[in-house]
Amino acid sequence: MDRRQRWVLSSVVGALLLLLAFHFTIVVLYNSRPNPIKLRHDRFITAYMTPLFAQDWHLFSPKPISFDVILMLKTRLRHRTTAQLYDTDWVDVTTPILRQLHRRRFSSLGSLAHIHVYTLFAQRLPPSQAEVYRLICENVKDHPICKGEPSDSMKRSAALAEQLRTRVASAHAFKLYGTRWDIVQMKVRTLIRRVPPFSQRYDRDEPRALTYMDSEWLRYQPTAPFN
Amino acid sequence: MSPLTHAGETLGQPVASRHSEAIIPWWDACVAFCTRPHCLIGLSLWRVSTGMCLLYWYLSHYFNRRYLWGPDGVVPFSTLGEVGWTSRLSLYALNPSVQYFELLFHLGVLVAVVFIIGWRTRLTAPLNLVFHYSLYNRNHYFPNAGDNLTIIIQLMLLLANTSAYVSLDAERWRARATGNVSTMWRIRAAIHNTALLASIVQLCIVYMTAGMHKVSGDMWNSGTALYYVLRVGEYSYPPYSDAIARNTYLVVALSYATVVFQLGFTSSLFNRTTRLLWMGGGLAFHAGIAVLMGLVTFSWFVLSVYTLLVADQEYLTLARLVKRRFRTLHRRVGPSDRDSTGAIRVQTDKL
Repeated sequence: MDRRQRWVLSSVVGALLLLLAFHFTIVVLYNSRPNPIKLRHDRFITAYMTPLFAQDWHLFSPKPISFDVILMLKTRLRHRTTAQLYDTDWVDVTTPILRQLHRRRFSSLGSLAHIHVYTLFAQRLPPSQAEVYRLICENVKDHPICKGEPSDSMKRSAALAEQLRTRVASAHAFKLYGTRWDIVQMKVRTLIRRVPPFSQRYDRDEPRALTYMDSEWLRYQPTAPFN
Repeated sequence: MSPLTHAGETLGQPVASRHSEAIIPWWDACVAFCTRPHCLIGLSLWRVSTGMCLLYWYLSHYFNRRYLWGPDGVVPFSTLGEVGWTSRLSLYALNPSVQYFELLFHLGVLVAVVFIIGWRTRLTAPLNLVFHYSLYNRNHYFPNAGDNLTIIIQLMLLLANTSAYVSLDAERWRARATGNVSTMWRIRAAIHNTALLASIVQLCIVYMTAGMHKVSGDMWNSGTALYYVLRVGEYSYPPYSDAIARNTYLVVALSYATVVFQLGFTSSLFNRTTRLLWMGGGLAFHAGIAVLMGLVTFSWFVLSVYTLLVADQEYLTLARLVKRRFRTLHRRVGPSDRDSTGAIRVQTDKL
């Protein structure tokens, strides 16, 4: 290696190591919990990382999921000849998918089940944003987001969650009734079934804590079927 | 002659002769190390493993593709952009027709196959990334952290040579690798090594971040987190997950082991014994996640990155050990024990 070659290679290696150090400093700050440096340079960090290097490594932490999201469906049907309207009973559309998932591990059923969970999660803030909001509310009591007033992004998230819920419900309604009835509207009950506390893990008869919320009547939207 | 040894011979100069012209001896050694391509076998194995996982993902979702990603699926074409501006960073956002969607999806499958066999990898690797990224952005409601990690790793490894082995490009690479080593070749090797190092550091950040988040969680601190996860329908596998969830010792041990594994991963890489130990633990950890929790692609994608943690010499040593073992087994059933068709002759008087 001659002197010139050695200098060129030294410069290249040095520049690459500096680039690595810079990149991973930003990555570490992006992934860190809110801290003064991150909050000061938040715009630059977000602009650099999004979209190509965007990442979230919470991975069931700090609090792992501890409840099931079960979707139940009530459908308003119209008879094709008499045009009479008829409301069905509530039908659980999530549990059959989970049962099949337990029998067929290597399939797309996990993705189908996950979409059901997202009809609830879609309206929640991402964990990193929720942490920032919590810090703001701890320090600025009068901030609008702390008063329960939904921000623009919260309203958008709620609208998207409703859209997702409508599409999932439409696909299930068609699968259940679409061959014989016209589907008019659907109502979705989102059931949240909590895992019993660890101290009650042996109590088979202990009922799981249940909360639920019902949607308004949602207009049917033709959606691609699923298997 | 293996291109590894050939490249080593043409690059190497006796250390003593470099001292007289050295800028800084340790820096010279660092530059010499950084301008030789490393982990070529591991990168090729990463390419094959990641490609196969992507192919599995495409095929396992094949019959639900229109529901999950189609223009009339759960995220209709008309709402793209409203779900987030990144949903427009997708080939699937260019046209709302079903025919266009089907063409793109099947092209994505084809590109994944070509990526696995390693043909024209300089072209197929970025294409594969574009197709995977497009699908990821088309519906971000269900891809998991494995997709997130793989997209970042694929992006970084566009700058690395992932087709030196186990590929149709391997012979062409070997032909180019012989001959004199130019400055440009060394610079490319340095960029290759930077991409490799970046991928490993990214994996470390995944584990470190997840571990630190866990440490701040009550359930992980009390050793009961795994109980709750395994009782959720989506992540359970009755009756096996129930059996683990009801066993206090297993729940606590595995919950704490998860945190220790993730936090200790980065420092384990600096020692060969701890590295191999942690890799073995990681293999068991992710196998458990794949089977018990059903997160097959997540585990597969992460384990694909583990191939980058083994040096080329270690792979060659392992290959020699396996060949030697195979030869010993073959010698025990020697030629005199086989008939004219090659089948093993059974001595009936000993039955």
